[in-house]
Amino acid sequence: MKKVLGLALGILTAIGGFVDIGDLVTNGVVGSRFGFGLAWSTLLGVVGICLFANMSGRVAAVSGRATFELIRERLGARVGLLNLVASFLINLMTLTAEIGGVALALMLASSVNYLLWVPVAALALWLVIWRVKFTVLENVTGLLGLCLIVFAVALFLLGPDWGEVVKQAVSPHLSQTESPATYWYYAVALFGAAMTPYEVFFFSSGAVEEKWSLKDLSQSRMNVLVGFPLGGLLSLAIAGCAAVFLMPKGIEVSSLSQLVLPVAAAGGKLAVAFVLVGLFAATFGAGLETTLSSGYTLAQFFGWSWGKFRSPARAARFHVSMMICLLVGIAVLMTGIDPVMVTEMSVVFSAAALPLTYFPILVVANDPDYMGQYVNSRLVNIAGQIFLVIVVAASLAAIPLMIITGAGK
Amino acid sequence: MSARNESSIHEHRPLIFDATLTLLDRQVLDRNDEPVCTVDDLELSGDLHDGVEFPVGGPRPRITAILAGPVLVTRVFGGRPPRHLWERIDWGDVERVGVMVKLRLAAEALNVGWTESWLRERIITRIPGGRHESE
Amino acid sequence: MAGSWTRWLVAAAAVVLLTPVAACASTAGFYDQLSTAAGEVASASGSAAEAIDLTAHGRLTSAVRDSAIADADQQSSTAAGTLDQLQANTTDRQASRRTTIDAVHRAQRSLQLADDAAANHDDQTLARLAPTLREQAKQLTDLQDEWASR
Repeated sequence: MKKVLGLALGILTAIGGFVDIGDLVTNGVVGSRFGFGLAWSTLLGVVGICLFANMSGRVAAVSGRATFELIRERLGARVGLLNLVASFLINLMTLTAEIGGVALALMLASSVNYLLWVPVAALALWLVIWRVKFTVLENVTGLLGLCLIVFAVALFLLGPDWGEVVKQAVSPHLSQTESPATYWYYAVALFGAAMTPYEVFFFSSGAVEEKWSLKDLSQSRMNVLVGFPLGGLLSLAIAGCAAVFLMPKGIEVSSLSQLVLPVAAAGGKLAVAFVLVGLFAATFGAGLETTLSSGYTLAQFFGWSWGKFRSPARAARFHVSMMICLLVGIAVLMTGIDPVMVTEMSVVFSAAALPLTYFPILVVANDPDYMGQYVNSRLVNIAGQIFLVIVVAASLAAIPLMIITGAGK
Repeated sequence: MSARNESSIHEHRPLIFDATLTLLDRQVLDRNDEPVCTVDDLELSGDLHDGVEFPVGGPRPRITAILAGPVLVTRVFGGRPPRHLWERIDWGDVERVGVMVKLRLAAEALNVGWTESWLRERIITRIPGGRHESE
Repeated sequence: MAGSWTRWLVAAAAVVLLTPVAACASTAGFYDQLSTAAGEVASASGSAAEAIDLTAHGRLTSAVRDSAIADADQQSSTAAGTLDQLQANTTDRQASRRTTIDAVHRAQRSLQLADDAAANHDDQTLARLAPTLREQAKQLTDLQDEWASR
């Protein structure tokens, strides 16, 4: 049991990265419109994030510092600021969306109006960040978020033709109503969602919170190798359920409620209960991750004291900035804006900003001043550089594709 | 935290280092290993001599202080901010220079720690649970 | 000198790159928008019908069903609103377009009725509406495929 709990950081990071409110709906959209034809994009993203998160974890364990601090130190104020602006704005958008996501999940379970849940959700997030220990936070949300495995169970129960599934995944076929531009738009969006920068910043800051050191290097690797592929699996399962159940009925996912339909058909009210718990835990976990990430990136850039391992009195600026972010989130949501739309835009922007984050990580992980003998191996560097090319391609394509397809219409 | 890692990683310490690379933008820690600020600039000793601050053949400049302050805009876009925006940390108060810069003083004794102290007094301690470690 | 050349070059490149994009966006014609709207409302009707059926069979909670119907109602009225705006901008009275637009409006009205019924916890009305919603979804899907194949 302790070994499983030791993987909680990786699992929580993956949950916030792969099945936050935006990804939940995007995976549903992709499954209901393209079947299994975009599975490769999620898989590619999983490999990429595993590679870079492992680097960050190693950097945190060896140097005792989080990635963002090192980006500022190694590459200077300009690069650091560019990174900060990009990451922080995207974090703020995602954070807003997650508060909305928690409110949506609570509405699905209760029939109480969504806007009433928004301040409750934000307050709950703040309380947990204020008082709950980091390890408890990650264990509880990580484990509860695993309830989303019910999507994988539902997929099996729905009994798809697996040969057909593999065929669709390997040679995608576009229906008449879809254009290639939309297909590639969603490919970039899925890849960007899998490799969202805040995952890396959260993972490395979490590693510092847990005080990982040299002897925890293998634990860091296990966290990455278990957590992120699990997140990818959940993504694929959600898309798969939509593909098998909704696509033949011509239903395209556009809201959270539609995601529940395949699970209800496959497993009845019991499965629905698991889904609702899982949806709440995933959006809540993602909310925690994005709020903490906002605090981490600001504090690490400006050199403030940070961390939940310190009492709030010893990390005042860190906590106050997170409070302000949550208040901004509430304010934006109370205007009635659709949280899913906010997050879909933030996914595209984060895809556009990917090289800003991943190039510095590659540089820092190769720096012998911080890493000593634990710098990247040749193999990791080659893989990292290949991914940088892919990342740059995705980032260049992201915004033009968004304009051309009208954000996926 | 990092001191332990440093001694196991670095076989030797270079005696000459590049101030821009090794000092600028580095984390500054106080006596209790709490982060205080970042090194935004360095104050060097020297007098203006015929308009040239460090004439060739004259006395070599020495670092007299670490400077920190709300000067992000000039760091990124260039230019020189006025003196009063800078907070000085005397070089004599620096205990160690490694991956991070460690001071001999506590954060409260420094001007640059003012925002943190103010937020702590006015906001954090007013909210229940602010002083305690998380549980 | 080099500075001003660079600026002109960048401006020219921007114009060259953005013109086809802008052109695409503005000629996303009536056909496409009609097809999209039909698809969206078909999807909304379909999911509402599905949610009602699953709840009637005891597989779904009424809270999720009500949310699904509310989402479907909102989606269909947004799509219908977009279509109305489009219509106002064209003078075309082509019969085939009329059929689709009328179908969209009929489906939207059904979804409104369903949303009201869900708010009143009126399971019987919902059960009656479900087959209508399915039929309308099917009709709209067929219309969408017709438009897409033109």
